[in-house]
Amino acid sequence: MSLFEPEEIGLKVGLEIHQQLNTPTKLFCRCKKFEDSFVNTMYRTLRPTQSELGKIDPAARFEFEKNLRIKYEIGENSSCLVELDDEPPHSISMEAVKTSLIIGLALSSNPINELHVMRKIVIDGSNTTGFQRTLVVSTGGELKTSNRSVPVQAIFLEEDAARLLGDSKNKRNYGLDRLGVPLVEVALAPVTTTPKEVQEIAYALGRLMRSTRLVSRGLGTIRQDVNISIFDGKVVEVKGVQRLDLLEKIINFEALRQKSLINLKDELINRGLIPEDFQNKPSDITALFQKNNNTILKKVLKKDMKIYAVKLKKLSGILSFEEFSDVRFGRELADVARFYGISGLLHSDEIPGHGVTSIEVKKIRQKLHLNELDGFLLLSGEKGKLEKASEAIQKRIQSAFSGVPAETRGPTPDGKTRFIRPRPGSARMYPETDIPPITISSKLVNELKRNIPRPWEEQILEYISKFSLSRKLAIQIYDSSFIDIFEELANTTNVPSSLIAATLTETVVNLSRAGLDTTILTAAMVKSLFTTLDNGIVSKEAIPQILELILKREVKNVEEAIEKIGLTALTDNKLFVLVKTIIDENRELIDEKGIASFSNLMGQVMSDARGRVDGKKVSSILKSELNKTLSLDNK
Amino acid sequence: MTDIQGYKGVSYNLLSKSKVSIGDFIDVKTNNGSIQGSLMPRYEYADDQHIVIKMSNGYNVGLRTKKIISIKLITKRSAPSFQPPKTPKLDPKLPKVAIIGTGGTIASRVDYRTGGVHPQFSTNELYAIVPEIGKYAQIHTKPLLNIYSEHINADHWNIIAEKTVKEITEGFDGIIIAHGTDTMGYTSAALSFALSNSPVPIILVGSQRSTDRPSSDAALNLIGAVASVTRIPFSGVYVAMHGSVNDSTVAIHRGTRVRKNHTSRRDAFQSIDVSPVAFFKDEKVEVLTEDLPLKNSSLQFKVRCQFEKDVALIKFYPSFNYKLIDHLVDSGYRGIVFEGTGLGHLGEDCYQSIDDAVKKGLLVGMTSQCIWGRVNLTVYDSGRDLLKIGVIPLGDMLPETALVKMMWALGNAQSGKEAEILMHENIAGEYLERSTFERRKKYEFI
Ligand SMILES: [Zn+2]
Repeated sequence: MSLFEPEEIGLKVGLEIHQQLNTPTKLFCRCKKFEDSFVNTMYRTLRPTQSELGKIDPAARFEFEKNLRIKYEIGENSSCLVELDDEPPHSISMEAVKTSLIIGLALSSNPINELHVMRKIVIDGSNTTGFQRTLVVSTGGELKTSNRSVPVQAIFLEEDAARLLGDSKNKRNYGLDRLGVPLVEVALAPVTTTPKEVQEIAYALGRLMRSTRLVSRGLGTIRQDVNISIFDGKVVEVKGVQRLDLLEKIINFEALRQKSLINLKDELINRGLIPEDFQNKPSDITALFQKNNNTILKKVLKKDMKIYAVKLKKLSGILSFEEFSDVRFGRELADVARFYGISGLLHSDEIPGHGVTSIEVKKIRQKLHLNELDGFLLLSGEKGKLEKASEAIQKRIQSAFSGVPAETRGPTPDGKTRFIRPRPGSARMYPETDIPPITISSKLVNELKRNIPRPWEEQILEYISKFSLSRKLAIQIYDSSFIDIFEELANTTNVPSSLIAATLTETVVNLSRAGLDTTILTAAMVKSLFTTLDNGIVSKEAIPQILELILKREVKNVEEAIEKIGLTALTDNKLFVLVKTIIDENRELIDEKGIASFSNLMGQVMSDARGRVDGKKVSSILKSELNKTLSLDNK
Repeated sequence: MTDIQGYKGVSYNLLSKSKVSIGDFIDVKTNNGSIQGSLMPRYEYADDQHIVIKMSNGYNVGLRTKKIISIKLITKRSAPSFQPPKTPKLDPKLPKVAIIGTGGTIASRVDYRTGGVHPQFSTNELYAIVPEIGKYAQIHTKPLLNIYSEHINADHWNIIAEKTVKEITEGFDGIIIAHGTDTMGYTSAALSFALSNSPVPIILVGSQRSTDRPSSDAALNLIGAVASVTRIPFSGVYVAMHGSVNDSTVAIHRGTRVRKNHTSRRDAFQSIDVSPVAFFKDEKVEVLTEDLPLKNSSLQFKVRCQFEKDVALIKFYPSFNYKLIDHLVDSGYRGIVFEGTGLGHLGEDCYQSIDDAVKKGLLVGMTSQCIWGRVNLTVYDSGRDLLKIGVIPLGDMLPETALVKMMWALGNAQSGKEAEILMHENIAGEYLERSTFERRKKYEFI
C-alpha cells in the first residue's frame, strides 16, 4: 500500500527520545512541583551572545531582531530564582544523574568518568538563561527490540524547557513550571528502516525507560525528535512528536515530501534553471491594488503595509504541483515567509483567484516583464520584513537545486510536518562554569548496575500473575501514570485488582474520549475513590458517575461527588427495610405470581438502590425475604 | 613545547608525554573504546585524574587517566580567524560620553571551541555588541583597571576619580564607569564625595548576570546608563542597574543612597529611604526628582580625592567584645563607624573603650544596622550616653556610605576637627532631611 519502498529511496531514521524523570526535585534547584498554577509574571528579552568569530547564527539573529518581549508566568511552588535566572544553579540532582546512568547501563552504554555540564544556546525564550543546561552521561550501546538491534549514540541528561503557553507576533508566553525538570535523552543512531519499524523501536525504548520505574508517565512526559533523510537529501529534523502512534504516519509523509523535493530538483534542471536565477529584487506593486476588494489585501493596505511581487523565472506550474497529497512547493515557500513574519503569500499558480483579478495579474506580469513560463510571488506585510522574506524565499528556491534542505520541522496533529525554522548551525555550546564537574566512580557504576531493571516483558508477566490481570490490562496499567497508586490499592484493599486497573485505564480513557480533562485526576482522588468502595460506602456501579462529576469539575473530590448524587451506600439494615417495604407494597402481585414475581420486585428495589449497593446482595436478600413471605403465606 | 593549561600531576604527565596541546584534535583510546575530540583546558581547582575533551557534538567529557591506554594526535589546533568589528560611524550631533573600564564586564565574547569568555572593551567591540548605545551618544571607551570589584580599595577610588576628572576636562558630556557590582555602592559613594558638584553626571554601571549568557542584564543596564547620562539634568554620581526583575526598566540611583540588597537578583540595587532619581524605560528617561544640583551650574567643582584607609566599619551584636575597639585604637586606626542596633545603640560595656578612642582623637560615628531609617541618640539613655562620650550621630546615612565618607573626610581634612565638621556637612546627598513614607514600594515597576 505504501507509495514508496523504504530501501529504494534510502530511508534513514534516527530517533532522539526525551523522557521526563520523576525525581524528587528539578535538575538544578530544589523545586519539587513540575506543574503549577501561575501567580506572578515577568518580562525578559534575550540577545545572542557573540562568538569568537563575531558570527551570530542567522536563526538566532532573526529571533533577536523580532525584538521579542517574552512573558514568563511564575508559579509559587514550581519555580524559584533559579528558573528566573536570578540566582545561580544549585548542585545537580544526583537522583537524576543516577537514573540517567541506569537507563544508559540498561542499554549497555559506557558511563562517562567525569560529567561536564554544558550550555547549549537557545534564544527563543524557552530557557530564561538563553541556554539549555545539558550533559552527556554515557556513550555507545545498543537497543534490542524483538527483531533488531539499534546502536545508541549517547545518553544525555538535560533540563526541560519552559512550557509554551502562547505565541503571537511580538509576544511569546511561557510557564516556568516545566523549566528545569530533568529529561533523559537517548539518541539512537540513524538506521535504514521502515516507518512501521521506527514506531516499534520507539515503543521498545519507551518501555525500557518505564521499566526503571524512575520516569514520569502519561501524555507530555515523553517527546521524540526524529531525524529523517533519503538518498541525495540532507537530514530533516522533526521536533517534538508527543504521540508515538503518529510516528509511522509522520515518517511516511516526510519520506514522500523529501522524494518529491528530489523530483523537483530534476524538474528545475530540466527547465534549464540555475540557482543564480533566483536573486531578484522584489518590486513594490502596492499601487496596483489600491481598488482591490480582496479582504486580505484590503487589511494590508489599511495598515499601511506594502505588497511586493517577486519574479520566479520559469516556475509557472511548479508551485501548485502536487505529486503527493499535501506536498506542494508553494506551501514550502509560504512556510518560509511565515517564519519571517509574512503570512500573506499568494503565487502565480493560484491567481487569478483569492480576490486577485485577471486584469491585476496581467498588470503584475507586465510590470515584472514576465513571459508565460515565468511565475511570481505576491507578498504583503511590513516593508522591512518583506525584503528579508523575499530574500529568504529565494534562498529556499536556490536550495531546491540540491534537493532536500536541512531544516527543522514540526509535527501536525494529523501526522504531517510543517517548516519551523532553518536547521541551526553547529550547536553553540560552552561549559556551564557555575557547576563543577561531577566524578562518576567505578564504585557508583557497579552499584547502579545492580539497579538495572528486569526487562519490561518479564515485569508484565509478573503483573499478569500477581494481580490476575489480562495481558492487555496489565500492559495498559503498567504503562499508565497510575501505576504507583494502582499497586498501592491492589496491595492494601480488597477491591479486585482488575477492577482498579480497568477503571484507571479503560474508564479513564473513555472519559477522556468524551472530551474530559483526565489529567486533573490525582492519586489522592483515586485512592479515596477505591477506599470508599472498599469500605462499602459506594458500589462499583457508581464509579464512572463519580469520576465524571470530578472531571467535569462539578465537584472537588470523591466525598462531594457522593453527596451530589445522593449515593451514600445502603447499609444492610436500610437495604433490608427497603426490601420489606417493596414486598409489603406488592402483596397482591406476590399472592398472584408467587416466586415468579421476583424479577419485577428486583426491578423495583434496584430502581432505588442502583449505585448504592451491589446487585448481587440485593438479589440474595430479596430472594430470602420473598421466600420467607411465601412460606408464611402458605402457613 | 606543549600548552596544557590547568593540568597538573598525573594528567599533566600523560598529556606532555603524548605531546598534545589544548585545542588539538586527538584520539583517546580507553578500555571502553576510543573517543575523539579537541583537548580542553582544565580548571585549576579540578583534580589531576581526568583529561577533558570536546566531542564533535560539542559536549565536553572527562576521561579518567587510569582508563586511558593511549592518546594520539590527529590534527593540530588551527588558529582562530578572528574578524575585528568595523569602526562605527559616530553621529557628531550626539553628546560625547566616555566609558571608563575598571573590570566590571559589560560585554564579552564566548569562544565556543575552548569555552573561554573574553571581556570586550574597545569602542568598536562595544558598538558591535550593544549597537543601541549609538542612538544616544558618541561613545569612547577608556580602559583603566581590570580588577574584580571585591579587590578594589581606596587607592583605586583615587585612580578612578582622577581619571574621571581628566575625561571631564577633555570635554566629555557624561562619564560612565563600568564596575563590578559587589562594591559598586562603595565606589559610587567615594566618587560622590571626591567629585562634588561635578559639571556633568557620572554613572556607574554593572551587571548581576554574566555577559556570557544571552539573558545578561549588562546590555540593558549599559543602554540605560548611556541614555540617562546624556539626559538627566543633574550633576553628581549615580548607579544604573535593573529597576525590577524584568528587562524593561533601569533605575538611576543616587551614589550615596544606593545599596546592593540581594546577592544575585538583577534588581539587587535599591535606593534607601528615597526614590531613584530617574527611570530609563522604552528608550525614554523619566526624571522623578527636582531637588538635586543641576549640571554645569555655577557651583564650584571640588576635587578632593584622598582617602584614609585606617577607618573601620563595625557591626554591633549581642556579646560584642569591646576589646575589638581597643585593638583598633592600639593599631593606630583614625576612625570607627558603628552599625548600632535600632536607633543607634551599643552595649554599655563598650562605653569605656569608645571614650578612650575619642580621647585618643579617633572619629567615632553611629549609623544603624536597620539599613532603613535614621539614628537618634537623644531618645534613650544609652543614646545620650554615647552622645556625651563624643559619638557623632550620622542621621540616615547608610553605614557603607558613612564609612567611605569618614575615610574621605580624614583623607582630605587638615585636622580631626575639620574632618568632624565635614562629617556633619551634607556633601553629596548622603543625608536626607525628611523620612518619607514607604518609598520602597516604588521598586515594583514593570
Ligand atoms: Zn527552582
